[in-house]
Amino acid sequence: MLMLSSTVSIKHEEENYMLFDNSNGNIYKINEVSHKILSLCDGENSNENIILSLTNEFDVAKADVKKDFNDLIKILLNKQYIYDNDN
Amino acid sequence: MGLYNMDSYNNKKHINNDFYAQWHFIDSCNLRCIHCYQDDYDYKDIDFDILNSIFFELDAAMSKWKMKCFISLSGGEPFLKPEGLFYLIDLIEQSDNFKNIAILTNGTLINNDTIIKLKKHKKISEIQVSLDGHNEETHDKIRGAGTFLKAIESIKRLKNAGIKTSIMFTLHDKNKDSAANMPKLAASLNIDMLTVERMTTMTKTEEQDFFIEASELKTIYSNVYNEAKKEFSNKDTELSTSRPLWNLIDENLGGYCPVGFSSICILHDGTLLPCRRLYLPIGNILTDGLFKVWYNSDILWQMRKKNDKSECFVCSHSERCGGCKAISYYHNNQDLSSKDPQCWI
Repeated sequence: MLMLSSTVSIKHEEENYMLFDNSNGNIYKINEVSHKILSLCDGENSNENIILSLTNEFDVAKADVKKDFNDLIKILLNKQYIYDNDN
Repeated sequence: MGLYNMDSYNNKKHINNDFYAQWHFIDSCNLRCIHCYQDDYDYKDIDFDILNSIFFELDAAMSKWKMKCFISLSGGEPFLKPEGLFYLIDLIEQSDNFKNIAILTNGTLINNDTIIKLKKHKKISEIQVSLDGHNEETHDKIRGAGTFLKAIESIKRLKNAGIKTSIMFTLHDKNKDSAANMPKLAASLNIDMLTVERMTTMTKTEEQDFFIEASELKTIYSNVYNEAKKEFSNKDTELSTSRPLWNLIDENLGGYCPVGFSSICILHDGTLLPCRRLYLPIGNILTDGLFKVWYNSDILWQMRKKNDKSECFVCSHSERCGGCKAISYYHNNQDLSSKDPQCWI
């Protein structure tokens, strides 16, 4: 299961969505879908659950969601902003 | 990746690349002023590792955010431990991320050796001496016997040495009759800046003893302003009017509080507060780091937020006022967005 790294936090404030790297101060402006994905990376939701949740909430095709999800996860894993607690 | 502008949460136009930090690097004090917010006076030696760690955190944040820090070094009484004070000043002077240094002092421990050391540091832009009365009687009742003359002597020494010197007058019910006399005193001492700022009463007892009602405060602010105009007309002395409520006296004065946007208070043990007058610990710079606290504190986010229900926020003066959130918080059942209780409109 995917989990947000302890050095990272997310914030939704008014119309803005942000990802904070609390270790080096970087701030990333993210979109609503990315924020939702990250909020579901709690170590309890499977990837399939996250994709399903997004499909239901944003009314988009599952294949599109899956591609966006995989693209984002790849970047976040690479930056070590999330990790897989099964590994 | 730069700083995502926290000011986008507010429509007040005060943002620039200046950051203000007030660092109370020492807890100890040689005085026991009757109105002081300091509860504890722990006489510890300076821990240089703590000073280093706090400095490096702050320096890294300024570098990341591309901001220039104006830092006030205070206590306690900073000149009680000159070895810590001058160590910090040396550190700060070496960093391009720090623009200016102010030292906030009670003015009782400044001698000729101190002046010589101060003169060697280029980033020291101001020594702020607290004077809580225009005469010995008023000041000494608040700060202790003999303190007025010592502070005046220090001010004269500093001015004679060519060091920019300001006076901080903390206004409350016990010294309100002195307020309008402060400009005359400041002018006679050739002070660079006079600040008259309200005491934040934090408890019901303090409120009973020190709080000034809004209508009376209006008269006091007006009198101070008029006296300052008269006394400072042919002088280089200025009245500091950048804080909330001054805009109600003159539309060209006043400023919105920068707390949550571009200022922070650091205590001697690393505890972070939004402001020294608002004792709401939001984290610790030593254990949490500044980034984590700055990005995640619910209190700071609350202070950044537009609040259309807040009377101060929707007020026509809000661009350059907005009230003091600390005074509002303590006076109005811990409601940060409530109306400043000393506002007279």
